[in-house]
Amino acid sequence: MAPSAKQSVNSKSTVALFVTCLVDLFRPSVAKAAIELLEASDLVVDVPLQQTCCGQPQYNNGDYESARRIAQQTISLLEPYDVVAVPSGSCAGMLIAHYPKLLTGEWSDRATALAAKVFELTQLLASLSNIRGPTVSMGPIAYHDSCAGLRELGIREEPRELLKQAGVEVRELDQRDVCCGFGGTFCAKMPDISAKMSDDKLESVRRTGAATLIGGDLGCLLALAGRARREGSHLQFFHVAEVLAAKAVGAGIGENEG
Amino acid sequence: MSASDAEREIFARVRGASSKAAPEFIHRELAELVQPIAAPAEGSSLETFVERIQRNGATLALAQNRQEAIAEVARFVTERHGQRRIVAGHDPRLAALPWRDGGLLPRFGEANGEDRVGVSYATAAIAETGSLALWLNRENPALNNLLVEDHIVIVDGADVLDRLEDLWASKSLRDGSRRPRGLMMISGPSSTADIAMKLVLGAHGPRALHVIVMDKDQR
Amino acid sequence: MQQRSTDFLSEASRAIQDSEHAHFREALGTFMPTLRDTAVEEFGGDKRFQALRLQFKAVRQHALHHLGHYLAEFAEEARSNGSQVHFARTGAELNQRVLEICAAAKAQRVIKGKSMVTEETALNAALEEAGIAVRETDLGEYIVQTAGETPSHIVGPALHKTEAEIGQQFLDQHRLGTRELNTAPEMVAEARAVLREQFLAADVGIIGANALVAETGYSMLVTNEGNGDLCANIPDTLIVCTTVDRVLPRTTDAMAMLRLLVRSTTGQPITCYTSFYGGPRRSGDTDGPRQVHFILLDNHRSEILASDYVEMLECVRCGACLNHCPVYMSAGGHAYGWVYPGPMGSILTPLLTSLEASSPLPDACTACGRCEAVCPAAIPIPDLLRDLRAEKHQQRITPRRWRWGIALHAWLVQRPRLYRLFTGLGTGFMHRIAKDGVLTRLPLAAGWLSARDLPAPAKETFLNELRRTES
Repeated sequence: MAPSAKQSVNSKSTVALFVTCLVDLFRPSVAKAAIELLEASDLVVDVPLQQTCCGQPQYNNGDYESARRIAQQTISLLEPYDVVAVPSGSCAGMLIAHYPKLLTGEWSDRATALAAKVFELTQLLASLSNIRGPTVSMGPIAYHDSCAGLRELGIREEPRELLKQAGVEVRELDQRDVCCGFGGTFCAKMPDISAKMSDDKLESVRRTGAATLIGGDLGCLLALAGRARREGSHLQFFHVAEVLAAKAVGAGIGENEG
Repeated sequence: MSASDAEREIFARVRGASSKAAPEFIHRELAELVQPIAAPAEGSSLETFVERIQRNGATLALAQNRQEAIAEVARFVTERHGQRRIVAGHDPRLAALPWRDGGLLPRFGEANGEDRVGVSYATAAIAETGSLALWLNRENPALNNLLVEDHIVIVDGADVLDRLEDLWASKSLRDGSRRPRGLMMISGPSSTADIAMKLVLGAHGPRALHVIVMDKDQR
Repeated sequence: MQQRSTDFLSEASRAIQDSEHAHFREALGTFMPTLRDTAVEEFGGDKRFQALRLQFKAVRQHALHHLGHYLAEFAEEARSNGSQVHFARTGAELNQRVLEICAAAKAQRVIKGKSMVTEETALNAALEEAGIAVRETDLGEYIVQTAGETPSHIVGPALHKTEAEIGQQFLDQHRLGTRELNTAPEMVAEARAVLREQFLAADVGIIGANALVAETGYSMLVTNEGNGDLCANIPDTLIVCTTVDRVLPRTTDAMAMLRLLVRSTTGQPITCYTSFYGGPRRSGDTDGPRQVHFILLDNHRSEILASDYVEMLECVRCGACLNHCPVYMSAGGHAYGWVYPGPMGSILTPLLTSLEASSPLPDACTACGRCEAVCPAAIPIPDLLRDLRAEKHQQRITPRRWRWGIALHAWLVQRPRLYRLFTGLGTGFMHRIAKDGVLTRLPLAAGWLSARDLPAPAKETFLNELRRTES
């Protein structure tokens, strides 16, 4: 279900970037790209230093008590801002779709209020009228929709429109609504099934003929890149923010910076 | 333990886990629920029915009157089976057909496993899904729908209903002692896809379903 | 049926390595969603179908909320139709009732239509133990029964077998002399002939029910083959085995259910046969059973009704969640180790057996949400699976190293400064030991690394870099 009644965003809005823990640890260039893209649209970007993780590992492993405490911490940290941008469908989905039902009473109300201000990055960028990204020159790419972005947030056309505006040819995967096998801790708990799902997805990418896979969720990309590397594939993986900020050059995810 | 112990205990558990509302309240609440939407249709009920039951895999012919209907039955039976015997239930509408004009040899009763073709007269048809409805009784033995190689069903054009719900509005089912023992809605020949997802007709029931619509008003 | 759900991981791995059959499942996973989507399109599109499912959900919720009332109404109306209504608390009790009915009818041969409930109660084994021959007649069930296997899919029980395997099985088991048996139509024709004799010779027919209708005491049966209808109409005794939660208030509600169920199951607007059975033959009728019995099984349904999992009782057993689940398509139905596989099975199995005996199943989900999106009953499947994981966590069924790992991570993320320090040290270390941009060995990451490399973390985390450059 798509979130309703979103906060309107204008150039005076102060945007908090919720970096997400995976981007923080594995791919800082995604955060840098996100900041550039938001600032290019005249938004004021702030990165709250006290942010850590949205609590999905606890939530999805059924440790609701810890997940609630982490959710409360995240809500307290982000609610002073006008807008929150998240370069991940699954973390944005956690804040938007899951915090309100995880929490009760006053906290649930605060979660709902925050949810109206949280945007997945491409959704936010696509909603801005004055987007000014660079023109990107790269070969055709295949796009992977993350399940949370697609089904919890209804993100489908936004990243494609942005890529098109930047001059990038997007090739569609067959079965583009099927999971890549990441699933957070799922991929570590059920590695063989996860690998089979990733293989199916990678095969689907190969059928497009594109040499690069782009997505909006680093979790999916890490899992797919890790599997591709294990299997000796030369596919390249970048986050959509990196492409839009013309930073998808050099080492892709899981490649040697050399 | 006896069965009635089980019944008492299950009712106690189910009642403990569900409402204790008065029947009037429950009926009112149910009546307030929105009626479900049906599959959309263009054109008349008859046109929709004719199109959809064929899409379900049935063959279909139109007849203006009983003579034409019998001629169609005769054509179908001789072409497919090279013989003239059929089995039909004790429906007065079937009894009244001019079987001899078609050179057909009807046996009235229920199919026994030897009969190749059953002929039934449907109570109604449903446009929404392309279905025939047959109450199971002396007029419509279930075995004639099932235990034959081919099934021919005659239906009056005037008996084509719009949607599934209409079927139940037309029959009074309040009185338990007078309810028929069952109803079959038939929408196509027996089929299966259980072997490698390949669609095969004639799994256990009829291999073909042939519908004859009796419609005086057809153009 | 002997439960083997704790072997889920090893059975799934075995299924994945069996590439011939794995390939076949992939075809199922492409084909079935396409059929379903086309049917929804013909219904007027996804929005309209969503509206229908919410309307029907309201009826289901109403029916379950007042289940005591509707169950009593059904029993009363079914009895007024001349049927006998029995109740069974457990699977064993249902089997016992069936055996008693068979004994009273001096039955030696039983034919069955497809019934997941009797799979749940292991009725066939009970009948055979009592010396009664029982024959499954749904083609898929027949194939699986005579192969000594169990269903791998709730709608297509034998979809794990190839055409060639089934052909060979028929050549071996039907003593019909030398013959060609290469195509599905030839195999279907042979099974039809073999089973036709068994239909005609049977003393008792057993079928399941897709729904029970309170206002008329009818049960609804949805099939394409017509086998269930032959079971219901040839033998002198008919037994309908189903569960107490299947009751709908009105026949019109059953019609609404049909629109959702069939499109979600096979992509048809309606099945070839949709039948309502309400009692023995009336005076003057020339066919039909002389006795009709309903056996209504509880087996934990009343507990589910009182629990937070009550929505699971709205499941119509369409199989759409299986057809859309990439985990099911990878692991195959048998890996789930009991009667109900796939997403719906991963919820039902723990509820109908125990969480301990089903412990891997709630984790067999990436929360991708594809099942919920197509579920005609709009059941929040990923949420219910997560809630089961919460119970696993609380009851300490989750392995200790996972619980501690999650707890340690939670402790750390609630201490941002310590978190930055720790992640800074960790990523720095991992960055140094990475080779060619990836890690292939790392303590505590065996799960990830068993199937894939781990892309190397950054030299410095983003937040640490930001803090350093800002200060």
